[in-house]
Amino acid sequence: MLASVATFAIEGVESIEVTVEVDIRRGLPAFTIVGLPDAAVREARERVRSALLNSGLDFPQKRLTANLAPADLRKSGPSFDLALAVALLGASGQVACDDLDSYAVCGELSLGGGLRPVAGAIALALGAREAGYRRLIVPMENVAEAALVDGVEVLGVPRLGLIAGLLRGTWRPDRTRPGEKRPPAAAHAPDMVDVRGQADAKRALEIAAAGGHHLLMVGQPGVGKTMLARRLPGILPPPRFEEALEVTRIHSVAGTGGGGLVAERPFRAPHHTISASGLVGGGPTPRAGEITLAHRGVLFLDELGEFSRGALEALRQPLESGVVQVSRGQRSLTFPAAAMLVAACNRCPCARDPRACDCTEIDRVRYARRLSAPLLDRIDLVCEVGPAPPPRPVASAPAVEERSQAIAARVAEARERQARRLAASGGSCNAAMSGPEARRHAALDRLGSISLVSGHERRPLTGRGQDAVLRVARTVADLDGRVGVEAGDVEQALSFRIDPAWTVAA
Amino acid sequence: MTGDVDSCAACLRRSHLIGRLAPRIAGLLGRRRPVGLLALKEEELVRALGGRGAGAARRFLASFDDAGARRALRGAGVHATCIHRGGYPPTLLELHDPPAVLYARSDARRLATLLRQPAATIVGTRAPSAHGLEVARGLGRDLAAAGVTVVSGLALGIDAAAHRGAVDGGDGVLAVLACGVDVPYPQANRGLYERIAQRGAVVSELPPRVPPMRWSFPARNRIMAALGGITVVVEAAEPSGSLITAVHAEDLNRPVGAVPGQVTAARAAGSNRLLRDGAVVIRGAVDVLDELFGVGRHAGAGGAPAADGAGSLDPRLREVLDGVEGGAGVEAIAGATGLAPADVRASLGRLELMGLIARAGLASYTRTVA
Repeated sequence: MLASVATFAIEGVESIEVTVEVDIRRGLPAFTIVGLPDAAVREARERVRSALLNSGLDFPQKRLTANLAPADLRKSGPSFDLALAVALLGASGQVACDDLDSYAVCGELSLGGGLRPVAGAIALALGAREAGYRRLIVPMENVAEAALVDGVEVLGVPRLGLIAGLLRGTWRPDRTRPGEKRPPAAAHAPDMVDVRGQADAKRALEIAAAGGHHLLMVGQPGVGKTMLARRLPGILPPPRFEEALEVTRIHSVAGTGGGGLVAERPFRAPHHTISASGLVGGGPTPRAGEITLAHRGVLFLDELGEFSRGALEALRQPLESGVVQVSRGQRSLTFPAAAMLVAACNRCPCARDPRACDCTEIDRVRYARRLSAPLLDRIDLVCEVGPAPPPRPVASAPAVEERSQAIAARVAEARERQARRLAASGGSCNAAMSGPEARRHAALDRLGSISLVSGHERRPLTGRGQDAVLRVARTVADLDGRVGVEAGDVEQALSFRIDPAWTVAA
Repeated sequence: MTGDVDSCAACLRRSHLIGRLAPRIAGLLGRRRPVGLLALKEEELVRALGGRGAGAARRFLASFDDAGARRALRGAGVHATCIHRGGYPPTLLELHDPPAVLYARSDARRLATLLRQPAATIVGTRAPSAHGLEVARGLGRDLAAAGVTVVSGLALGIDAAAHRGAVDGGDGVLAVLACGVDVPYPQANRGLYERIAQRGAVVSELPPRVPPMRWSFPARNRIMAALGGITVVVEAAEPSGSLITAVHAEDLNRPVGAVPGQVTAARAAGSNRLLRDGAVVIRGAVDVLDELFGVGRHAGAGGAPAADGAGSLDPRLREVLDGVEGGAGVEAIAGATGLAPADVRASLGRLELMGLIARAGLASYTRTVA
């Protein structure tokens, strides 16, 4: 007899439907699994057999063949165990086959018949919903995450033995509640108030946050660039539910999730020895890269000059399009990668105080080339971070540093204004505006346009440079709550741009 | 373009001998100034080499193909003038060891003009500050515009900046190399080298294809000092090759000028020392022209040196400009003036649009020379 059950497998950060068919024939006892299974999937035979027997169910001593379709997709991991067991139950008549149609089933089995959790529960639930399955059966530990997805009923089963009852209708699991939001860990979230001074750098972060602009911080080691970068997620508006779901799904698949809804924006800071595929994703079983793990959050690259050329070049596509395309044989996977980039580097290769520096032009030019001109081209803001001011004497009045909350409030308002303005064209933030959009939305008053156009003849701005300046100017005006962009906004934006000599190959 | 070879056979042979012996000369001289060696007569020079070197030298001299050498020069478009000919710059004759032959890559008429008109030599460190670069460039530009030949060595840093300024200001640009005129050294400046060869002239005492040696740099410096009516050191640390050029200029009784640098900066210690020891203070092209022609006697590069092209500035802009001149960043300027960073940045943008400051490095600014 033949029975089939639907299950889902993770590909990239999404799930893809796999149909598990089991056929039972008379003949010498055998259990074969086909459909390009990997070692873990082949070992499912042992797990399924023991789990069924230890659950008081029957394991037919016949010729069993299982197929995991589509047959040309490689199958890996233990998440097919439960589906195999259920299909077997169906094929052997222990449960009715037509009951199986509306269910999708995922889970790993232990020899004793218990169920073990699988990775990527949200992705599985989303896949099940898309494919039209009304009910998803998963191990108990995966319920919280999977239940975040509406439109599909999530049923948590602790033991294989109860499956039969569930499918026959004689047993119901407890009502499941969607996973609680992970509390934002307010106590130790980094706050801008911790940073003394650095008013200019804090402002640069505020502008970056408000408009979604990428930022480069320049300064000697130890001045606090990392400390500042870590506080950027704290001034970004909290993610919308859909965004939080995306982030949760990505981290659930990667195994870095906590089992509930991720409500904070991620902060990723890979070491500069990372490879290109570590940074943007890929590899034999395509895994998410750091930029995907930073999706909707911040990707911090410290010591930008120390990253390999390959890694930096690989970032160009996702920084421009917000996604990473990975080819895998004939298929191509898309990983989301809409992250804000914050990079840090030194003023020059010797990394010493400018007065003690004796780098020649050639040293600086070589250093500039390591920073990857096309990458710098996509960074709208640069600021210098100098040494921290000396601690104030205890007796004097304490310096009043702003809390992240106050900054975040301004950022949120600026984002609101942008969202309303850009709603028609479908954009979400100033940094993503195209050239024509930038020119339209940052329509300068008469004074402003004269300023820009006559950008000094020694280093005239290229068209691209002008558009970048307009985008930043638009954000500056938004932060100030103004509808029109003024000359002063443009002048500020000019001071923020990276010297074009560094972005054009020398 | 074919080269114009105007040289007697003896000089041509001697010059090629030096070129051929270049590596051995290195062994003899180390880093000291090659005084004396290049002044030796041919036979004495050969003896000084001693041993196998002498043998090789004699063989070279015996088999030197004069016609072949001339053909090669003409074919390569390289001009050559020896000491005894009319086209040889008289200023070089003041050296006690002038080059036997001066080779050049240039348009022939252009070369004659460049060597005839008044000249100023501009040298300095290869790792200059943004200020030094600005001043060197400004000097090059304004002097070339005033009809003065700007002489320098194509080195990184000050030399290159002076050359670039001169190319911007006119055609009065002349580079003296420490290697054959067909070898752009350093490689990084080959683009500049080509422009100078086309607009001005590239000269050397070494025949084509001879690579630079340690000794050929100080040797080249004596030629630069001799060609210029004044030698200006824009910025130099202690020690520095450009200071050697200044010493040669003194030996020739030429005026030496220097640009004041920050007293706390090591890279200006040498040029500042020259000033202490009596060098002419050079604030801009006008000071150079005053030395060359006499005070106020030239149809000059306009007006007083750049210092206050920023004549009547809004006080806030002036404060920020002063901050930039002092090398401060946005944070420091904000702290010193009490302005908010946003206002400091707006002022920086405005000053940049006015041409008073320019970007230097990834994120910093420097004052420009107007």
